Amino acid sequence: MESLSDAALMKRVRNRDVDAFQVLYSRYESRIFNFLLRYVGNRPLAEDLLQETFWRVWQAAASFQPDRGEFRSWLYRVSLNVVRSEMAHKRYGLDRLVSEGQSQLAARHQQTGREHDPAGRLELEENTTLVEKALSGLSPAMREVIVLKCLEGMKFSEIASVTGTPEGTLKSRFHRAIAELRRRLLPGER
Amino acid sequence: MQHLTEEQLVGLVLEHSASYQSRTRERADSGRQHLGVCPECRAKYEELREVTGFLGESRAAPPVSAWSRLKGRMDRSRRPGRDWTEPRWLPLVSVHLAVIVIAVALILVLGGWLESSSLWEWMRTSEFVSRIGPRGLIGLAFIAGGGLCVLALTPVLWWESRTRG
Repeated sequence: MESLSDAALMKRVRNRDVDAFQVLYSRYESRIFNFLLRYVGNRPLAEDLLQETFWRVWQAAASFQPDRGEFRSWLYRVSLNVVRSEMAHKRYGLDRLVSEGQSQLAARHQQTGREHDPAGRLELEENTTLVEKALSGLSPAMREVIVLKCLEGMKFSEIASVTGTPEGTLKSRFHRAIAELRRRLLPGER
Repeated sequence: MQHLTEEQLVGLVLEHSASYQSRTRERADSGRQHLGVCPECRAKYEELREVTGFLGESRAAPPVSAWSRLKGRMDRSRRPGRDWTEPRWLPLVSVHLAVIVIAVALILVLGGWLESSSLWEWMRTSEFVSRIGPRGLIGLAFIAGGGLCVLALTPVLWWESRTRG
């Protein structure tokens, strides 16, 4: 089962195959969770949104059409819709969410190698908090492009299909977001 | 000399990240060569590298119980199996049939009461009824009956749509 492609697994999920769904889940759980966590900056909320994302995938498996795009893009689109509707529904301010969850996020981040070194760990946590603060200062649209580009390694064309925003807009948004992050993370320069 | 695109620059910056591995490997070498000779692209590359370096590779571990919670939700949502010996339209027809029978019974009872009441006499002698004639009266009765049926069926259909999800 593990060797099957995403599309083949989704075909089984459509027929209510729980084992196939579990394979897909374990394949994308960490990525989607980190995407959500970076986006909302609040661990408990990110956990709920993770469950909601995969719940919707299970519910709407029949609407996935492999000939219209990759499963990965579809999954991120579902996840993004979940976050957006959550924001609209609860009328949460992202800043508020970030400030609520920042300490938890910094404390729970896992790193390979450096977490064993106390000095390295401290530096890492400081950096994480710094990055989260900087990200929280960006608009949701800018944050989307930064997280999907820099952390998920997506191409602009893929981000365009996930967010429904034209590539040109995404590129200029990315430029502005990088400049903004640079201003916040490296205030002494330029 | 053609400069590197944004996509290529980000690819070079992130080439060691797990997300980018094996995706851009073959293009990375030519991009790196270009960086060696193009100060403009080199400056953009450094700028990107500084910022994305902060974003780092840190990954938070997802909650351990996430799958079991989701699985529980999936199990709870499963509806009891449908009885395939019973046609799907049968409950719908029986509910509607019951509503129609009740409506007819109501009309008969109301009709009986109307005939024995002074209202019938008033209607027979009424100027309005004589003006619209017997056809007009039947038409009016149809409109009133149709309206009553719509009023009676609306809550039934609403209830059905809710219970069927």
